[in-house]
Amino acid sequence: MRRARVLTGMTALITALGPGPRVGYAPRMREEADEGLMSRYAAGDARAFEALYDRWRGPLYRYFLRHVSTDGTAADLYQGCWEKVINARTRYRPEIPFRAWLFRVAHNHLVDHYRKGKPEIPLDAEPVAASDDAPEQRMEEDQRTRRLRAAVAALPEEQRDAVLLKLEGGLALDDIASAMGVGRETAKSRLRYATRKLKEVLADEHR
Amino acid sequence: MNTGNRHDNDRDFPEDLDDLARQWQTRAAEQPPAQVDHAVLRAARAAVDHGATRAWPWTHRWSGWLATGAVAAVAVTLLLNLQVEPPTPADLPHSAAPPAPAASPERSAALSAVSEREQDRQAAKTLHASEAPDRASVQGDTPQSADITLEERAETFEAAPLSRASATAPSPEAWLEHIQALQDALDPAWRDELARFQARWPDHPLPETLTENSDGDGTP
Repeated sequence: MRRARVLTGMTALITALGPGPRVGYAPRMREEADEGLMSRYAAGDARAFEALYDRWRGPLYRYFLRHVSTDGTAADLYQGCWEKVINARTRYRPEIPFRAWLFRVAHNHLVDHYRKGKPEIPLDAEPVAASDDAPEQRMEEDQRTRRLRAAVAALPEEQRDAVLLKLEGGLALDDIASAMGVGRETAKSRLRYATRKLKEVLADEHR
Repeated sequence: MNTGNRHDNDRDFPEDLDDLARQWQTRAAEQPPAQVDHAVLRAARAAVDHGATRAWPWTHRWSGWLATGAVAAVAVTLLLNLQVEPPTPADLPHSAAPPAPAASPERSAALSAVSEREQDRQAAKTLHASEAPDRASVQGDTPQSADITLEERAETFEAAPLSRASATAPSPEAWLEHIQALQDALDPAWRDELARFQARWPDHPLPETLTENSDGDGTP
């Protein structure tokens, strides 16, 4: 009896101190479609989720990061969004593209966040990642990227959301419309207005 | 959701948006914090682990229905066993039998009516049997037949008060004839029988022969 209790405790300890998340793991699943991975995770395969998470962690995090003012808020939104995905895993239908479903969950999560409190001003001066380009060229690219981010942050909320669903999520027009809960033409119109403003801002700053 | 025509969708986007998207993604390097990654992946594993422990085998999923079916089958069997067919007069016992526990009031009344009819029939049979030997003895039958008659009558009259209700007891006249026959046969039991008769019928007049000899030793 005592030995069994010790074994149980050791097993729990090993589980708690286990290998932990292995982001970037499961190269075997790299080529599998998102929809198949999500279906497998819904059936109980945790490794399928790891592969899926590795694919979408960056775009989803940046989607939230461009919407809110602080890294902490973005991380909270990001984590909450994934928790919603985990809890809704059995309701996912493979005929729906996973990316469209994921960013629809993200959009709804963001709307809930906005409803709870005052909308925050997005970050517009985040440091840009380093590159191997020449310093002058890198500086110019950094400045251009910052201006672009600032321009996106200055967009009206609905237009910003439509643009980020395209830029970060890579969603098609129909998926953007579906994620935002609007018609196709409405989404197209928001994207058109947003693109025009972004081009104007970038052109003005070039002069 | 129409996702099959992605190229058509791409054509629907504003032209300059593709340039912006390329520029946007060249510097897209922000990643979530490592502790958030750990938390999300741990939650994902815990969710499926928890679900696996809760997933019951098919026998557990059907156990509720199986239990309900078993209870229903037992209940039906018990009900069928409790249903008693209506008894025929031949099935009724001669003594007063207790009524069936599950019988309804109407059913009990019907059963008691049938029982009373049967008891009346038995009483009539008994009287007929008690009278016939008397007639035979009066008509001068053999003594052997008279002895048999007396034995039969004794059995009948001893059994009657025990097995019958008061409504089916022999008539006083028949009982007195029986006592008289016992006396005639010099059977000393006639006194006990007379005592029982007087206890049962205290006001009934007694024949003189029984009155005269009741104080003596029983000899005529």
